[in-house]
Amino acid sequence: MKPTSTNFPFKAGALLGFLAMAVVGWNLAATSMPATKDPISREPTTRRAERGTRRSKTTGPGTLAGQKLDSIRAAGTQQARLSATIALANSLSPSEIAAWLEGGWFNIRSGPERILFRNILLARWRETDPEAMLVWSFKNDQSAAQPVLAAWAETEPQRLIEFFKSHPDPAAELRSLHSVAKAHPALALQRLQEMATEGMSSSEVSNSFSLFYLLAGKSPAALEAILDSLPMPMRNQAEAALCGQRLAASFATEIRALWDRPGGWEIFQSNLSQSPALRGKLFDELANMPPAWRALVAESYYYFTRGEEAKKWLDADLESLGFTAAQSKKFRAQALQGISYEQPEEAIKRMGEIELDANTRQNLISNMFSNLGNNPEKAEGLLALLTTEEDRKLAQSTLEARQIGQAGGKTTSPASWLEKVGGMDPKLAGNSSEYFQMLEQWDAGKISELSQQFAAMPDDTKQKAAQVIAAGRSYQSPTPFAGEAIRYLVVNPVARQEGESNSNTDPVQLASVYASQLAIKDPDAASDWVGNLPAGDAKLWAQKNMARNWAIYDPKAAAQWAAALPVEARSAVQAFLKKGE
Amino acid sequence: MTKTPLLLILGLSCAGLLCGLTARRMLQDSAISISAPTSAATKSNGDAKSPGTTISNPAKIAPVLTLLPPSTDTVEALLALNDATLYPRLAAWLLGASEPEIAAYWDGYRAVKNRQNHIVDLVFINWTRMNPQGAIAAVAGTKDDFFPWWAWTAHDPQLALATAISTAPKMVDRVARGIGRFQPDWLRANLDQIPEASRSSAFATFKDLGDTEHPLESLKFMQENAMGFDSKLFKNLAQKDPWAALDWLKENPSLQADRYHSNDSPLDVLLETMSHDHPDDLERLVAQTPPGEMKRKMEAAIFDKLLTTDPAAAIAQANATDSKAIAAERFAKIGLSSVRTDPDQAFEMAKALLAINPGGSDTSVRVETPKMHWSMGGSDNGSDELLTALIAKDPARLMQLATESGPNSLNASAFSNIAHKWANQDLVTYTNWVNQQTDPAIRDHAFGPVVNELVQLGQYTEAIEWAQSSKMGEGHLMSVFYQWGRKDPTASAAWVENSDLSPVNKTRFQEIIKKTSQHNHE
Repeated sequence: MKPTSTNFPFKAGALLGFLAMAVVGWNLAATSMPATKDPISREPTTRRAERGTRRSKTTGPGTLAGQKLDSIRAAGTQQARLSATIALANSLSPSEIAAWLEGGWFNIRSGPERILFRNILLARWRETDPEAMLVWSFKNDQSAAQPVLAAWAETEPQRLIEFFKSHPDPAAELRSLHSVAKAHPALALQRLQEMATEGMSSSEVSNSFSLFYLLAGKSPAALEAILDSLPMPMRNQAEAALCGQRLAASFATEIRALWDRPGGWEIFQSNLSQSPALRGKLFDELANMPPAWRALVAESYYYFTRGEEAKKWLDADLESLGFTAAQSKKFRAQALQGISYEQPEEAIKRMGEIELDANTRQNLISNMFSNLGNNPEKAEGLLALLTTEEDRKLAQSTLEARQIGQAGGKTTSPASWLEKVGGMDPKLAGNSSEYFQMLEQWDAGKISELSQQFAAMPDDTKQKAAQVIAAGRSYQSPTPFAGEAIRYLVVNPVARQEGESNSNTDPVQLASVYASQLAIKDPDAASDWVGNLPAGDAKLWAQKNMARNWAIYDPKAAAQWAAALPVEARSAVQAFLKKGE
Repeated sequence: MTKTPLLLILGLSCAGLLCGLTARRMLQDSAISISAPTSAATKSNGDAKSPGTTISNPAKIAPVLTLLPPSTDTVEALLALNDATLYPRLAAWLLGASEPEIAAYWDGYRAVKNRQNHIVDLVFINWTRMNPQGAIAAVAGTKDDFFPWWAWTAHDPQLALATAISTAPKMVDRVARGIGRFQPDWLRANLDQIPEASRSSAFATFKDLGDTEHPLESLKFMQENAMGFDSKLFKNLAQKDPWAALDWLKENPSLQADRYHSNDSPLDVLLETMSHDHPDDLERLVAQTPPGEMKRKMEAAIFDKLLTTDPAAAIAQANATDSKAIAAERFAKIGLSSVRTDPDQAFEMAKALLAINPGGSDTSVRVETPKMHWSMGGSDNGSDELLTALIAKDPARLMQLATESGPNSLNASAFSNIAHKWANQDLVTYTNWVNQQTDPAIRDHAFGPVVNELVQLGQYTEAIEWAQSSKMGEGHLMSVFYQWGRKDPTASAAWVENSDLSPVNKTRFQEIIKKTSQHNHE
């Protein structure tokens, strides 16, 4: 006999211990499982203090899709990963494709898998449900729609038209009808007629011109036959397009008809986009055209002095063609600009032949050098051709600004930014756009450093820098940094000569504009900023304008704020608000 | 005696722990083992689904690795395809094809008319997977010589780059482009290995495919390397983690600027994504956001959603809005959403809009000081778009609404705006409408657009006739002679001279013609 009575509790305890620890082990295994089971928990987080209240839902089909990708990631070889990727793409039903593509659920980015997965889904979708694919691609990726639309336009135009009838998108339909018209002009014309009857917006009417132009070339008789059925704006487009085709076929006859026709100039202009060669043909008729048309050409000088025509205008004896000296000067300056893109050397050579005002000369040089940041050799060669020191300085500063712009301000420190900006002539601060665009690439830390360094600047250079920063605010939304500069100018106004007026230094105007812009963006910040201004005119006008602009979007809050002002300011601001209602 | 049972308890407890751990791990391991391929998985038709891959029921999901069964296609069969089925079938076939088979397919495909780059990419992605040097040798000296270099980076960016630098410097740019496209992680970690002159090539393709895996890292990399901002990548971040996207906006305040009032600013992208993918988060975000532009945009995104789910509630909300500017925006949105489907409702919305905003939709910043009146910006809140759409539907009905919109409606800019647009689009119908008006006040105000259009068409004498029939004719006449004088000073001066205008007016208008003509010739 064995002593069962004494061993039983031990055995039972051992058994219970086994079971309890097995449970513990099971749970431990769960907690020590690799995070691959929960793609959300693996994601690098940017959560900080607010994580608890800010967390997004981590369940749903996207999470489940992540589980499928885990198995692909875990595959041992690339061949296995590709195989599993293709299998997954083939396994999804068409109804799931939109969610996978739109949700970006296939999130294996490195390697060839993502592009394979996407292309297979799009190919399968195109085969099984092209209409659904088109709806998706119009919203997310228009390039995916192009092969389907192009194929339908050629072989199934009616299907394309039906698609747009059930998914209206007049702008896209007009573009597609352009393709349809190449092989099926009658069908395209019929649909365009239907669209016109249903009603088109003015931009759609304008966009229909190129289609009318194509139809006017393909089947002018059919287009003429439906003119009376079109609403007037569409009819005007169609008639202009028919006229455009006649201009292309027989310019000398048709242009004379337009000279005598009301609205002839507008018809001619609308055809320029379809047929740029008309510019050259019009040039050849300059001596024959009526004075009213010559005046219209002179008004639109920038249209005609482009591309191949630029040199013709530069060389022509414009005065003897009937243009005034002032008009001829404009043509030549613009023509010089026109050739400077393709032939900068020629443009520089001929700059001396033409009388150019300072602004035009500056623009010309800036344009020529602004695209040469990546081509130092060419820039060097062109610099050597410039004849004055002033021109060379301008070209060099353009190149420098361009390089800074290309580097996105990465290499510029807050100290050197302030040094550059502080060294500028405040009157020419409007040319400092690169420096303010650069700030858009800086993060909050770097901007904060800039603010600190600005605050620590000595007064003599600080006032100059503040003027440039205040003038440059127009390149940006109202930033706190600009607010600091403007506040400095309110506290330390720039001394003005008698009679001089400059909105870039006038404290009343600077404060009012800034407070108004900030009120639209962030009324609480605007009210703090205005509250910190020293008492005086600048503060009162800033208060008035801030309240008026605040009231555009939140009239109650603006009225409450005004009601809480000290009594003198309150009545002035309330009266100002009332006047603006 | 007492030691043995204690050891037994301890031993069995340890065994239990091990059993528990092992059992669960085994279950987990078995779940990621490779399962047998299913025939359904290879079908490319829409109904093909392998068991256990549905995403509708979590219980059915098992993270099994489903592989593709061998393809039964042949080179000839694939070369005969030219529709959308080619890509999936070729992708499946290439996985099991030998290098000579891939070479044979390429030999046939390279001469295909209208060949497609994504098919060429697919061939070389698989060829370089097996033998990059073989693929490079196969196309060396042809116009396609860059494809294998680019494709090689999909598998081994390090080796592709090192080989290009040492043996084929002309291909370094192509390799860099491939790295940008296929290897963003590698690029972020190894940018310094790419020669400086070729980095822009890598940057150019970096954002092509977005990055739903590490969007924040990619955005930071773009910023650090002055590659600008990419809204697709930002959308990827917003989809993955809207709060991280919001943090990114806060850390980069300039991105909050919407200088051009576009509809795809970073904030717009975030809000649209939240509204679609994380609507609950958007509601919470609005509650946490202080008043201002950002909050307005958030509320607008919620309103847009409400309009699609409960239009009646959206109308009620628009009617209850305090700010005229916001109310106008809401009426315009409701109207635009119903122009095609329910024009009566669209006209109702136009009526509401005109009643609160007969002066038009001015949301520009307005500044007034003793020395200046200045306005800037102002977003298009959709009201102009709605009015234009309704002019195309029934301009007379819209004009009627504009004339009845308030006590001073005829002087308001909305009336003038609608009249000018209508006259510009269809002058004949507009003049017919004007002629039908019996109220002299409406007629007088409606004449201006007729005069203006006739002037634009160069029909100056007809324009003068219309101008003279209006009580406001003098202003119109000055405008006619100003325009006519610019275009044709001789003809306009002759007309004035021979007209029956009073001597005073003759002198006035000749003076205008003279001045504008001189100005035009300067």
